[in-house]
Amino acid sequence: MDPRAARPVGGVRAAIGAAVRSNYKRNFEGGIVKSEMKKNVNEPEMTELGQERRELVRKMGKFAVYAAPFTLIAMTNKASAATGATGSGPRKHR
Amino acid sequence: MAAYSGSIHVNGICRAGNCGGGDAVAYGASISSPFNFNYTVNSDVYNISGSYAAAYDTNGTSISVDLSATYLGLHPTATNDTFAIDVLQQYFDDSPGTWDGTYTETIPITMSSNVGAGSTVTAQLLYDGQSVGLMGPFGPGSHFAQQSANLSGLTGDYLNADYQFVYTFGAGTEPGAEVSLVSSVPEPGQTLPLALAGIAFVGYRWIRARRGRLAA
Repeated sequence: MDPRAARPVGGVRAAIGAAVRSNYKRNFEGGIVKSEMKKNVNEPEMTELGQERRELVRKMGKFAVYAAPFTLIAMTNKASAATGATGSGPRKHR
Repeated sequence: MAAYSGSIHVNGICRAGNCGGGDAVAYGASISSPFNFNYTVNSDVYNISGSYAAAYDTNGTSISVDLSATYLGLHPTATNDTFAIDVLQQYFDDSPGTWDGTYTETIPITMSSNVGAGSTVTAQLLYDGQSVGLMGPFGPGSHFAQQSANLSGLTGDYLNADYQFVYTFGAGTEPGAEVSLVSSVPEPGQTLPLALAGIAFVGYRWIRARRGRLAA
């Protein structure tokens, strides 16, 4: 018997590789960070919890994008509030 | 008032800054300094603190004042306390010509709600005794004011600026009551474009999301 047949390494490696690629694709598209990807490597299917997490991250990202301009306005208001009384006039001229 | 420069006066008495006179800001120069002192009126003690700055450059003359007046007493005041704070600054330029032109003054003022009834504050910027315009009187809350005026007859090598604030703390002013040149009211000139940009951005995102949903 061929000794290589007793250890179907290639098949397992291929399966793991496919799972990693699949997970990477899902995670990348879902916007999950790398540390989360490691946890999902051996999961054949995304769990319900994982999907909820992805949804939460997506919603948080969306919220951040919408909140950005208003944060900018608030910062500008704060900056203008610190101005104090000001006065200005022309330079001496002929 | 005497031609002091870079100094803070309360009811006509120099209390901080360069009380010895001189120190006019010449072309290309600038000046800035913090101040912090207590002032007593009718036995009520107020802390006056902040900073001022002035400059004279290609844009012309400028002055800015951050100023807070806080009642330090332990009990509510029994009388009306009124005092005037003058921030004086002199500019110097011996080149021929005049200082005539358009002058602008801007103030954000916030008065706390624990001041006594009838409390007010007014502000005006004067150049060689000519007022750009009286702003106020303002009561409790946040306020923003801006005025401009064309002043003429400003001749000579020196131009004397006087940023004048007149405070009245009504009887019943509580400890910690404060009037400061800081406002939560945004300057409309800065906020309006940003608000419009924000609305446009959100609208753009909404339309894109809606198109995406329809296409799906």
